[in-house]
Amino acid sequence: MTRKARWGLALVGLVVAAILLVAAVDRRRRSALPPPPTRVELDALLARRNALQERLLDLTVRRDDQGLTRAPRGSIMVGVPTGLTRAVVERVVTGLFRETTLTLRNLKVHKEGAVKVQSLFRKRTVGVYVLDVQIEEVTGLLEPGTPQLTFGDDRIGLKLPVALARGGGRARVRLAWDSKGLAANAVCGDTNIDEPVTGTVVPADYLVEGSFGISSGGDTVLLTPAFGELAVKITVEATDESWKVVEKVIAAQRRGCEMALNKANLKEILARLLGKGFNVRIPRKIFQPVHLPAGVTKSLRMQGVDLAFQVKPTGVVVTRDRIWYGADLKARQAAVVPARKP
Amino acid sequence: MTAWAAGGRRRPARRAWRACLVAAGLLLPGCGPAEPPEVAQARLEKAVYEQQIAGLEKLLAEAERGDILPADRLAVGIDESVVRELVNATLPREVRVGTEFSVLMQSAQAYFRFTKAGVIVEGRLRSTRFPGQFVAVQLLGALDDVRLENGRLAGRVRLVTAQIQGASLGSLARDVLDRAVKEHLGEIEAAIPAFEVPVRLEQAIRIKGLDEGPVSVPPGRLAVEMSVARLLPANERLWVMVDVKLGPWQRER
Repeated sequence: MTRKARWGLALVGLVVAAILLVAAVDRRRRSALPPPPTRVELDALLARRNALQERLLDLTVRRDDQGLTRAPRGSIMVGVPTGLTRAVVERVVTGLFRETTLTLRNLKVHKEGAVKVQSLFRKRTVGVYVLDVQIEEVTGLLEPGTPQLTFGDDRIGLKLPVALARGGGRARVRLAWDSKGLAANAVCGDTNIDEPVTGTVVPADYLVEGSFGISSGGDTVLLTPAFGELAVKITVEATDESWKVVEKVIAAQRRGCEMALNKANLKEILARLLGKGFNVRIPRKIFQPVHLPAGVTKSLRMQGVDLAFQVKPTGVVVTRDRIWYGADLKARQAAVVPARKP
Repeated sequence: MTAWAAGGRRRPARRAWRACLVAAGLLLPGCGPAEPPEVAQARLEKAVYEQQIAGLEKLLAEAERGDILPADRLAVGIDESVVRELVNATLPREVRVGTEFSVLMQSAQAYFRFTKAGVIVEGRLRSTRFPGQFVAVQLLGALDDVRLENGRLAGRVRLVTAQIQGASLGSLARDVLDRAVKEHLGEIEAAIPAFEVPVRLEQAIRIKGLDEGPVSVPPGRLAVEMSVARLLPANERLWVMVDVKLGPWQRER
């Protein structure tokens, strides 16, 4: 064999050896990876995925879980649990009424009358009185009870027990006594009483009834109140301590006067006067619209870009478990905010 | 004659040996071609289907128990188109990749299907050495870190992988570019800004006061505490389930 032939053979041998070496190494590397999936295998996986999706949709539609199938479609959908809505309305309404104060100032009550006594032959007027009560201030505090809510298609009915729970006031009682007749004048004469008194508000119970309409308030669900006015009567009665002061003043009069004034029965007259009460009208606007705490925003800033959104509500639907709100959003780039110089 | 002969004898042998090395070198795995793109694509497709199937099976089990949408959670559904518009509002955006390349991110698409929230960003890979040339690239990612911040829903795109497009590229060139992009995926991801979803979740419900005649009601507020409990991508929509806790009514000054 010539030298050239030997070299050529060696060269071929080396190349073959190299190829075999590479093939062996490559085969070892490739065997670490699983064989690639076939089209049939991929199609089977796709079919399985789609079948699962169909089952899921079918189950969701059949159950109508949370009323999702009836929810208004939109690029944004919000589902507020009715439990949450109920809690919001309860806390807002009871919170408002619990903080409500009714204050009456500078009320005047006036009563005039005559006191007669039976004498031997006829009733005689022994004196006339003029009673003025100036109520400087009386305050009543409300206490709400547990509200009852009922959900309808587009509103929430509300019944709220409200008590005029407590309160008090201060007033000034002025009594002018004018004795009539010689004998009365001799025994008593004219007298005046001017004493401060305090009183307490007589508790009373009321029921507030109305509803909140459920609608789309543009970018969220809005609860709009529909209630009538609530009329509360504040009735005050003087405290025992106050009466003791008045009685003490009467007792300090001459015996004849004391008898005449006791005959006038000031306490009963005053109780009747104050017992008529004072009407207070609680305006409808104590109930205000409530925005549920989830909705869409009409603008935001991202990385120096101001984005404005055109919001188009697609509807509000009340289901058993949720209030659904939908809206379509269309973005408009409002402005590029220039970067602040350092 | 002797020297030439010796050199002559040695020169052909050296050339032959170098040829072997080059031949071997060309065929060595490190320098050799990776899997064909259609095989890589098939593997990716299989992995995606398997993930989707696993997610759907889990969701189906929850649906059968009635647990998909718990009655006490707020549900917010965001269409793919919203996230697409939001991410695209900040594009195009260019980021350097290593010393030689840059990626121009041009547009994005969101996919909320089969329990997976994906984002695909289409872009161009450019070389600083050949400014007029580019290769199309697809950046594949997922929605990540969706959270509530000051009543707003915010999130980020987390890039998972990249795919060089272009059937005309040779496998070697494709591999080099592919590696260049994948090695700098973190930098590219950092250049995609966080996005905010235009949903408002209030932190309080406020009611104005009233002062009318004898009736006085101070303003008040009801605190609302919310947190993201779960994300559920399905039917081209991302469902965000939110836990809500109400505080007591408080008078406001």
